[in-house]
Amino acid sequence: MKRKKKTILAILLVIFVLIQFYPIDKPLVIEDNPNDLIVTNTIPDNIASKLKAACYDCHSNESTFPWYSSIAPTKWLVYDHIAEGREELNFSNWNTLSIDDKSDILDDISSIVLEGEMPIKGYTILHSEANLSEADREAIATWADDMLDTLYD
Amino acid sequence: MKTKMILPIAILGIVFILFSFKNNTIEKYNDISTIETLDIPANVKAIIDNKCMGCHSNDAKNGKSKMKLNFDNISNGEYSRGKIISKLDKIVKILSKDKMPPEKFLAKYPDKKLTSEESKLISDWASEQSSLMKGE
Repeated sequence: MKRKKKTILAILLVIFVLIQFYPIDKPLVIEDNPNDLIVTNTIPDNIASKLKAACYDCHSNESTFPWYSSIAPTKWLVYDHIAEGREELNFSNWNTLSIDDKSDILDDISSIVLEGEMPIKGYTILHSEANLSEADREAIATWADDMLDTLYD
Repeated sequence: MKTKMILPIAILGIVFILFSFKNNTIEKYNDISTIETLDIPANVKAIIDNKCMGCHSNDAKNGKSKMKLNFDNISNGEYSRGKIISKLDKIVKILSKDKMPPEKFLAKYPDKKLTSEESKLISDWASEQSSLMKGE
């Protein structure tokens, strides 16, 4: 019985070591983003800091990588989330978007943040700074709605 | 001779009437800044009432769908001009992908499915209203 346990553990360890070599592209990090939302617009400090803390890891080129993101299999999950997040919305490319795309996104930000859909739960568990209070959510939604209004002025 | 003249004159008249009607409509919409003037033809309204309002109105129970789009907010001034434009554009986008009503919902209420004609009616209406509001 003891032996069986040991073999299973050994096999798991070998698998764990082997999967570390599975090649997967790390999402590119770019620090200098001239088209970034916060760079190209006057965003109130409180909003900008909340966006950076709660959204920018997956929705910008400025992702930061915690220790568990360098180890498989969590690495795969993190990389996948970042790729998917950037595809949906990348604040770093904000100024390259059309007015209609900006309006579409701002409207989404407002309802998705207010409704609590974002940031995703798995992320806030590991990143307490991304936990948005009810007041934070309302502030972000109001900001997004106000900015949306300026688009078609 | 007389009867030959009637047809071209009638056509000219109709064209003139249509033209002035069209101009009036555009003028009316170029000025709008609030939703009260958003024009919903009866046939479009009937489809929205029947197939969308269950989830997208003040009376809806589902908070999420109501948060994403609430048709009551379009008519009661709750949505700003920019907000209405973005909602109208989103209606067009979502209908073009056949995403609404959602499949799960339709499994339960198959009669709420939009026919392609209905979908086109709503989509054309939304895209026209959006353009007018943008002043295009």
